[in-house]
Amino acid sequence: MTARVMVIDDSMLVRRQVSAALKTPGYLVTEAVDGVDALEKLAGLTDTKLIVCDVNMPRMNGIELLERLSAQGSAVPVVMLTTEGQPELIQRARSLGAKGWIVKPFKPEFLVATAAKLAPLGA
Amino acid sequence: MRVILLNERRAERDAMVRALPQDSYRVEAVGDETAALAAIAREAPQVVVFSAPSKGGQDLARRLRGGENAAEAYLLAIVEATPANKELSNLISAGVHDFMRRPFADVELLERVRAPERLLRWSRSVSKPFAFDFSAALDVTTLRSWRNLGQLVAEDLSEMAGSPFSVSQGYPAHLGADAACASIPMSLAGDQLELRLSIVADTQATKWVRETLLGDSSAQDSAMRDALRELANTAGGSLKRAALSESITLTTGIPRDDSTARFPGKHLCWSLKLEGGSGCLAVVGEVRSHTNQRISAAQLTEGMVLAHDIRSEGGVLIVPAGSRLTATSANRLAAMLGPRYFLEVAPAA
Amino acid sequence: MKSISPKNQPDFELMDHHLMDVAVELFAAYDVPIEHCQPPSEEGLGQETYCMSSIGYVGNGVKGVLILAATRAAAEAWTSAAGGLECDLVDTVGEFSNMLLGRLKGRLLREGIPISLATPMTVIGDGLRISISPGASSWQFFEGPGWHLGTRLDAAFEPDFQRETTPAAPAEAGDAILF
Repeated sequence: MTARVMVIDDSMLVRRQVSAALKTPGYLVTEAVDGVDALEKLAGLTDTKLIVCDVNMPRMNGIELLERLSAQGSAVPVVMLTTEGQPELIQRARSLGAKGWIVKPFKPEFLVATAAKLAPLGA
Repeated sequence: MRVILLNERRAERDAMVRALPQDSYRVEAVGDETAALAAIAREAPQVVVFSAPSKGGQDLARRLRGGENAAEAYLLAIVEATPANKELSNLISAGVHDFMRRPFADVELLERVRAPERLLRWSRSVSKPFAFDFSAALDVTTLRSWRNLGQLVAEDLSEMAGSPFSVSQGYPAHLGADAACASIPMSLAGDQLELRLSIVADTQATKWVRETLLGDSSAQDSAMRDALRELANTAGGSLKRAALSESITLTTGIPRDDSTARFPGKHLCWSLKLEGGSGCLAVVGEVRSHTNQRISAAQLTEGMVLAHDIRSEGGVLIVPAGSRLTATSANRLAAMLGPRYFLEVAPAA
Repeated sequence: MKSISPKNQPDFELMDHHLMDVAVELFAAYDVPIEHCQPPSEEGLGQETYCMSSIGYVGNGVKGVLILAATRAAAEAWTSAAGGLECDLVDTVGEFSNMLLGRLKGRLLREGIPISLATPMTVIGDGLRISISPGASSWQFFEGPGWHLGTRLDAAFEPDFQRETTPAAPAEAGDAILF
């Protein structure tokens, strides 16, 4: 059994690191480069079980994406993966429905554990 | 400072030119009003010194000030030793700022031409429509997080790399102008400052990036540069989080490829050496002043940083100061606020 | 030159303490060592006061003025250290008061007392004096090489003034928080 995770980050390196971390236990990973790209891809991927999303991105940042997903009534859990650590920003994301916040550079095992909790394989 | 000297008395005019040091003043000396107006139209002067005729001095002053480019010029009139009644008050009413009586010494001319430098500086500040903080503002270089930047970045990069870095202050001498470089801008809009963090990699370090971070020793240059940008992003995050502990909130921009042509020598630099000698990264921090702009909401674009809160009429916070605009938020604010709403922003980094 | 520092006003004492530090720091940046000292006379700088620069500030629930008083020798020394000319004395004293309050601003920001500054106003003349402040007020004096300077910090606190709470510690690299 597998589950699809979308990773959204303008850095290819981060997308690669997240993919590597999540593919190992068996997740299927789709990549997007910013919020606009993510919305377009999510519209066509109805089996996304988890979104891992950066905050600072061009065109549409992670907080703006959360606002859009919330407005759309999306039930896909979102975990922010970012260099930001400002408590107000974390609270803002939480109030918009984010389920988690991971600060880069991240520990792969934390990311995998988070994915296992929010989008368990085989569920 | 550009000074226009209008004096029909040639000898006196020549002496005035000699009295003003060339390294401080660009003086254009003319003998009649037509030439003076043409000189003003060519390039705005900061100071206009003119010989005021005993009759019609105030009219001349008005014509000189009325010329395009002279609206903010400082006018200094030269008058005779005993000016006629009301001549001085008429000159002042016409917009003359100061006057000198003949005969005058070189040093007096110099002092009176220097005086407006202070006034001009302050008048530029106070003429802006915003209540401004004139302070020397925050000295970023006194922040603990700034002084320890090299160590902070090394710790986070070590976490990312899975191997430790040793840190020393100074720019690695062997890094050439063509070394790979990425930087991230960080704005402190309220203080009109921009910090820029750069990561520079030597050849060994770029090899390490390919092999260790990308897991592909033959990864393309574009991938290596992407990784370097992410290292700059990580460095920016390190500083940002550390600055938060000192109650300073920085707004990070988007990391970009950059050039080492700007440095070394003028900035704070650290060398980070990978364990085992497999390469060296330089971390460079610079602080720049950045004059904010006052623009219409219709002119907002991606990358600009808000210098103040945007609130609704009822005082509800819409967007906080320090927010970096994306295309999405810029368009949204433009639509919400309209072209008649003006706001202060730090320019896009 | 009396200092009036109300009892149980630790915030004012904190500000004053930081002012002493930043004064030493500022001059050190120009390679001019100064030391905190007793008032040179009962009247502070007394008749030797030649320049006074005042700069207002306002924060959330606090406002006041910083005054910098200098002897002529001090003003000349600072002007020289800053690379200016004789006619720049007024400007220099104004700029130093600006820089001093700017540094204090940075310190106070980290203490939860953010302030905004006004434009300095400087006067020169012999034997300058200034009125007593109605609120908290503290003179400090410093000795430099051959000169003295005085600072007076005035502050009026609103009854409900509170230092802004230090924000919660930011998340660290590697932290993972699940809501």
